[in-house]
Amino acid sequence: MSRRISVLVIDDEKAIRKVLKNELTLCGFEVYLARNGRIGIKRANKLAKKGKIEVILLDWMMPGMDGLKFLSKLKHNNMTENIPVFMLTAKSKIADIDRAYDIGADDYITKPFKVIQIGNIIRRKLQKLAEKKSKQMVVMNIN
Amino acid sequence: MDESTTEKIIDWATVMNVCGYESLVETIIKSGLKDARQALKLLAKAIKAANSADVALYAHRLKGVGMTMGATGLSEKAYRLECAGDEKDIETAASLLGDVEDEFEKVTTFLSESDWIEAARQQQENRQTEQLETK
Repeated sequence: MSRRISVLVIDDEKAIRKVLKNELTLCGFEVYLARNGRIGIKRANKLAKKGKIEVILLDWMMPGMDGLKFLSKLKHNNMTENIPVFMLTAKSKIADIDRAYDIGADDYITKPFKVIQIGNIIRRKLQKLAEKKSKQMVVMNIN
Repeated sequence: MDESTTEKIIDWATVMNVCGYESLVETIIKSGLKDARQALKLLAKAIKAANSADVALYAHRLKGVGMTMGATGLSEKAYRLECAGDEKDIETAASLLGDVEDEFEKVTTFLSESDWIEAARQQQENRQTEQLETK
């Protein structure tokens, strides 16, 4: 049995939040939800304080604080800057993807996605990220 | 509903990809319809106010909800409106709104039928058969 991973899903589309909550819970994730960036920031800070957040799935186009504004705020806060953020958005142009990476996104998943694959996708991406970080640590230690 | 003649309003394969399980489809469609209705209202308001950023935002939301529900026609039409919003072209956006509203009407009518799931599934099977026959 895989370890339970805590994930915060930030999306303004209720149907997407429902589908993800259902599927990710079935896949053994602990799922927290927020319907926009402003609520997402509050929730991320609260969860980070408790050490209860390991990854954020983030929509881009949301009213009020959009995904990129959220990302920028998150990455400029010592408490939350190291939380991996995977964009989950229908914005799929190369320029959009580059922009999100420039602001600090760790990975990118485009909508529509196959929900039954989402759990494995997140686990794989987190594993890749951990491997990348450990390689960077080795290089830093050698230098 | 006569699934052999009805136009494809809900793409069953798409909705199943998003929902994963048939047991979730009705819940998601119900929630999607609510989201879409709200996005459409806000979209019309944004066009009236000539607010292109909001036009792009709410058309994008409608496109996303359409994809979630498997309403591919609605999603495509909303995408055209999103592009008009991105290009700050309110005139084009206003001219496309009617198309989007008509498509949404088709979606709600289709979904109001008690046997819509069966019809959408049957349409999917018919398309697969047609594809196999043309190969």
